[in-house]
Amino acid sequence: MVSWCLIVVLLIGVAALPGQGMAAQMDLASILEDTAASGRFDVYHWWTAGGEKEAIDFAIAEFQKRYPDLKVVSNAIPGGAGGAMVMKVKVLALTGNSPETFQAHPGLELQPYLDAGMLYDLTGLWEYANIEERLLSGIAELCQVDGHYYIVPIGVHKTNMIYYNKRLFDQYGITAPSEPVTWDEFWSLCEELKQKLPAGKYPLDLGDRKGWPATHVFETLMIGTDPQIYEDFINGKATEEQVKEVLDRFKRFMSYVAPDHSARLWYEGAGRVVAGDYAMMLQGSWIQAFFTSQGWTYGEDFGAFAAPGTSEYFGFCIDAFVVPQGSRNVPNGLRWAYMVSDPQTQIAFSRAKESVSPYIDTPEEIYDELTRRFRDELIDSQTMVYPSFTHGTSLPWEAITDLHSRISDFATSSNPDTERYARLITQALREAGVRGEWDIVK
Amino acid sequence: MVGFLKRNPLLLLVIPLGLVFYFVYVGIGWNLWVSVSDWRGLNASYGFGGFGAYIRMIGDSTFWISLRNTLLLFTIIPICIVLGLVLALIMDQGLKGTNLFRNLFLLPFALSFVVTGTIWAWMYNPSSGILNSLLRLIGLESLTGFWHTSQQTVMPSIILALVWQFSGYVALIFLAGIKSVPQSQINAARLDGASQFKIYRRLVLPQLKGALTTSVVIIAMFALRSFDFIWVLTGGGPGYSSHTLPIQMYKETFMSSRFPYGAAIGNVLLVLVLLLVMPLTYRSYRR
Repeated sequence: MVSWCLIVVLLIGVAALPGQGMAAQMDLASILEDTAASGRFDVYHWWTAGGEKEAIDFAIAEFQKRYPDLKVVSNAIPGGAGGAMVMKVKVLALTGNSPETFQAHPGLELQPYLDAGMLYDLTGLWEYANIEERLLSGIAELCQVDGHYYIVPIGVHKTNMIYYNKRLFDQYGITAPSEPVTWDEFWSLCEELKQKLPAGKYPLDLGDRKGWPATHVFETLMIGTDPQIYEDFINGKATEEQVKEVLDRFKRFMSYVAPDHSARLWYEGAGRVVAGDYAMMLQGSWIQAFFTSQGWTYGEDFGAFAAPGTSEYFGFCIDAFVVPQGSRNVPNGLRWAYMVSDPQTQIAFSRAKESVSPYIDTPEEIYDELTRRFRDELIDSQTMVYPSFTHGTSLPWEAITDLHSRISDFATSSNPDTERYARLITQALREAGVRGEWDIVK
Repeated sequence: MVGFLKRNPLLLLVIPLGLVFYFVYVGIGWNLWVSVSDWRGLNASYGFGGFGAYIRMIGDSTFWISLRNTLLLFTIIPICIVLGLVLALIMDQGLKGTNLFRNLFLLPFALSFVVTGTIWAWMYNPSSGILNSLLRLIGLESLTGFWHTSQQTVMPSIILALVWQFSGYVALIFLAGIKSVPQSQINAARLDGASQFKIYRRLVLPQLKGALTTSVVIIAMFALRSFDFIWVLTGGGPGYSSHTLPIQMYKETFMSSRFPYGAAIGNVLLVLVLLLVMPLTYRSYRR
């Protein structure tokens, strides 16, 4: 009977786990300065491709220089953009097993966690590490929610770039257009590639097996078509006609893409660009670290230009980490978040990841030519930044999940009806209750 | 204590029954309630929120695609039954190498669906997969296709792979059934001059009803909860074209954080199990 009662008590305990209490704010100084802390903890992220895996390993190595007795368990959930990792983290959180820290993007992506009171308020940590003063302009605002900070940025990528295989261009006598690239120039380039490349080689690839690269292209074509459409879109005000205009352009873009594009992940597609099977890919600047891991050098093996119509814009993708309240060891999560902003971590990580460090105290010398260009663009007051919705900042997850499926459906249809998909896409935003107040058009 | 339990043997059932009650029936009840709850986002809430999730289902084209695909997976049942039976009959001939083939046929089923999903993704890869390469090699280039990456061919590709995975297992169930037919009955039929074909048709096949029911139930159960294999092979794509109810349930719940809607889809699955599989298991149990 005793054992039966014990089981009942245990089962009730298990049922109550998801609602366990929140950790109170802690004495940060004693936690962060306790370099003799020991144990192990989990870091969840989605960096598995060449270059980015090395970057997170460098960040872990820097962490362990300061906390040598703390073992970091790196849990990489592949796929990019976090879709698969988010599902894993949500399952863990709901069963009361939140990891100590996980990767996220600032902005609306955090809203479900914030609504559930899942995230630890890192405002004190921001003050302790003087993060607000150290950030490049524009980043702190994206990280702030009602005057509080719940996330610490680790790197910034530019999303609206087209990368091309320079050797392939040279081999077939094709000249890359000079920036700023107009739509007419871009379509002429695609047409020229289509004419000159032999059978089996294609002007473009997507690598959208996980769906999000198609949404990534869609958002870039949207800003390139008309920034006002983009602003209306993330504010939930875009009309079907506006979305149709973007989809018509997307349809034309898809006519130059390798037909089996959805068989590959983004980095497998990038690998085929390296192999010379495809000439170009519209991707974020994280692709550079992959190219470098393949032995490629910017200017010799590959080139890049801003997507047509977007030369004045900088698509913002900010990688960052959050600390859940209900994890087994919140102090270890705090130590990780603190080290993310550490200047030495920033040097090691940004160099390998080829991302722009969000911190002004990261020396410029660590950057390669292209990343330095992006950093210069980012600090130039003339550059207009826009928050990526594919990468979680400007649309809620509910909308993004539906968008990924609908846009992937569009991209894999043989002759998609743009009017129908425009209706489906605007309907997805309506159903998700998107009502933003973004102001990106200057 | 032992004496006490001997006098009250039903007490031994209390713990397992309690566990089944909690993990199965309480779970089903909880899921039913969540589907009509006011749960929003990751914040668990158990107040009554109405039947919005079920109303949403009616107008959700993705749900109907998922339901259609789930039911489409039932086509693997007759294909696996016919293939399995043919393989079992061949293995019953006592040919050389039968043991080797028996193990080979069982191997796909012994592998995890995650492993076989990955293997088929490689095999189906349109540009570098073995399937298209083989077709090109033997001069059948016209038959090469985009397989799991095309909306038109993704479901047939999944069905083909699942037939590969299940038919060997079904064959072994049938073979066990064939072997359980008493040899005396077969000898008696032979003495009466029955041909091998007649022995199978009149004597063996009628005794395979049990094996048939078992096979149908196992495959039907898989079809209804098909998740891991399809998730690894296609992720439910391209677009929605290989969404099944379990995949949509997972995405709605953990990606979109629509817990009531995910629970409602789970309840539709429960109804399908009750309608399609329970009658079979009930009939089998009565036998």
